[in-house]
Amino acid sequence: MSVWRQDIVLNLRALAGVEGKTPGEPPITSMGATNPPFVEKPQFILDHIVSDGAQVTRPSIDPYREPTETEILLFDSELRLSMPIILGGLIGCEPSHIPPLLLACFRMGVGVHLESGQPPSIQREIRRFVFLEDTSAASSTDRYGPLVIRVDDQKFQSVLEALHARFPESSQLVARLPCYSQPTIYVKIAHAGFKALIIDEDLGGDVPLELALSLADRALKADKIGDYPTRYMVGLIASGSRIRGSADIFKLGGLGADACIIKDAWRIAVDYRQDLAGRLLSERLENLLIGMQREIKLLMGAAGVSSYQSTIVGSRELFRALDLPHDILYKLGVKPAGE
Amino acid sequence: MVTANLTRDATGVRSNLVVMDRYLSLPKKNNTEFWTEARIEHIRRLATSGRPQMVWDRCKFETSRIIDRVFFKRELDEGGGESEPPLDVPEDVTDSIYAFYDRLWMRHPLYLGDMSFGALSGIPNTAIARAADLTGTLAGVGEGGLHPEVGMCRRIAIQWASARFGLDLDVLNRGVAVVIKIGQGAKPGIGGHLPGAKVVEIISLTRRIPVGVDAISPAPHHDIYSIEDLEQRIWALKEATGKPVIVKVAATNYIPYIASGVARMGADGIIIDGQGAGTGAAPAVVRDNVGIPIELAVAAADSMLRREGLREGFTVIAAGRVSSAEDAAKLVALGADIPSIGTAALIAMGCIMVHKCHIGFCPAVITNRIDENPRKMLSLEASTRWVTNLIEGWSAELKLILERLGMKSIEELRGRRDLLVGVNVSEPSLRVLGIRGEDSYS
Repeated sequence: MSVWRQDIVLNLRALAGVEGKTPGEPPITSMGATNPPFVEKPQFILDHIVSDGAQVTRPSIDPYREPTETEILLFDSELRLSMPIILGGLIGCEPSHIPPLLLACFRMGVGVHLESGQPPSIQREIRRFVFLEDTSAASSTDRYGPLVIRVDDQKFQSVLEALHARFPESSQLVARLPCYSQPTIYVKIAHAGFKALIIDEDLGGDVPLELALSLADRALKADKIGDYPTRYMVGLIASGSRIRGSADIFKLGGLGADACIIKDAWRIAVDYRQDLAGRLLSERLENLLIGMQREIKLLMGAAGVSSYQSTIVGSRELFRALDLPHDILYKLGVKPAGE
Repeated sequence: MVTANLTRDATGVRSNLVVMDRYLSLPKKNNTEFWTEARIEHIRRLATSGRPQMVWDRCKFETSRIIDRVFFKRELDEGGGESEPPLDVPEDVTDSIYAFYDRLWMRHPLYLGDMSFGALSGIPNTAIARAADLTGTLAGVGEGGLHPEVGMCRRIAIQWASARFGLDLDVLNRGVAVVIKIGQGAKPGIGGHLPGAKVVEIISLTRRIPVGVDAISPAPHHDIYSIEDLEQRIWALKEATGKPVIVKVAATNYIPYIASGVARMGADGIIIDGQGAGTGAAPAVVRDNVGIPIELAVAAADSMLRREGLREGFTVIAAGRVSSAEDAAKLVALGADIPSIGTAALIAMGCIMVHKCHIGFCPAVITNRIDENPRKMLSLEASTRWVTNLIEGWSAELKLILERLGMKSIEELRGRRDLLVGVNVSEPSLRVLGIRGEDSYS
């Protein structure tokens, strides 16, 4: 069974303006839902998680008429993303597409994760949004945004020190690691000096992304550097090709992700092809991003929340799980529906 | 002017006008649907015959809601020995109840969900309201202002929703109850939404809004920001109308506390609308990711109301994917007084579940945009008969279930969680439902 159910694909494309006539607008539908876990078969833990609708004892917020804020601050507020989204999965993109993609992300205020290759010669402002992983050819005198290192085992200290030595100016060091079930690993990495962790399901690991994220979030909150919980000094970013759109991002946010890296989702949404005109690509991507931001605002408003980073991120209490067994609920830190 | 337009449309004979009084055949579906062909077929049989079609719901094996995996022990004891129609409806079993602190007698325990004039195209609204009168049930009119024909029916509940479309004291006094709509199951925390394409002149007149503009109701009531505010509105509406006031909410995370708050603040009943419920238009992202299923919500709310000593006389109406008399019976056993149907009533009127209500081109002419010169319209006579039959057939199936359980009235079933058993239901869900579980059918 494909991750990309037909309704998900259609809705993503409607947001991007590939389908339908209202690009950037959250797709409207009618009659009862058919989504997992009770009609379609659930594939991920996310399919069992629902968000809250505020009512009576706590009013909902009308995102059409009242302010709701989706901005995310990372690296001690040095980087401000306008929404909890980072574009990833650029490997294999036509090289001429990278500049329009970066430009679209810059315009919309979202990050870009460049797993391989160099950033094209672009303005410094745009470069601030690029999470650069391949630093081999980077000049140590130039200024970069976040620098990402892959951390597969616990021998990251030497790599980190080498990077520090090469880029003494950079304070935005990011570790990218698999989904570990052992929460102490996240704490150790944070203590080493990384300012953000990308938990990337595509690197493997021994638990699903949902569990790794929630375990990391709680472990970092319980731990302290000085007087502050470590979590408030370290950004958490979730990554995985199966992140399907704003609802997944929102739920991963609830489990602890400040932001999510979307990969296949944007490619499917903009109907990515090698021969796509750069202008059209950036236009579709901007539609998609503004549409996803609106969807996130709808979910926030429904839950009665006006600020994403301060109220959604790590707020497991705002979410409930449908029909999951005890052991998963325990690791997830989410209550069952009805309790 | 409103009435004149409607009368002309409803009765005017045109040579090229097709009056729909038969069901469309079901289109081939390429995605999974809760309302499976078998469910639709069963409802259609009830609607055309008015006679019971089965005792135990055979369609529950097609989907995997929690309630589909909850069984009456009695059914498992019978070991699949299925009775085939014709089924004799037991004459000494009654499903009548008194609701809202004994202020309203219901011949059958069924609430016909709040579907507005605007979402539905007028004739279906009228058919539902008339069917409620004919069967002694209750129909909610939804948020859209009152359709003149609906306003002539008695057993209607007038909805007081966040946009207050078309409301005044006269309208509020037309029904037998007032519903304060806080939320709905398909989009908890989000206001009503009538797409601009469906806001034609007649809708503009009843709702008192401009033609062609999306009618998006505010997400919250801007005068209900707390439980105290709600109490003031409940009592203001009670004093203004002298009628029972019901609060409609969606099934969400804090439903037990909401239910107890609503009861404590003096409401006569609560409508809890579960995840998966129908809607005329909703953002897909909210519909698919917010809210919890009705079976969990009802069980949790009932437990809390009992613990707080608020259950007696207070009426709990359970909505959201109620697809058969067996679903209804299980919800009653879990603690509801009155199950509610919406989609099932639409299916009885010919809905084929193409999920196009928001566009306004309904092939079954139920939720279509109201046209000045329609080429196709629903037969009021047929649709009223279908909904009436559905309710009578449904009630007969409910009585058959009561008979199997050895009961003479629906009252005996309320809160009898001990009669249920969950099969392959996770332990946390069983705890909320307050029932025992098994790993396989025994």
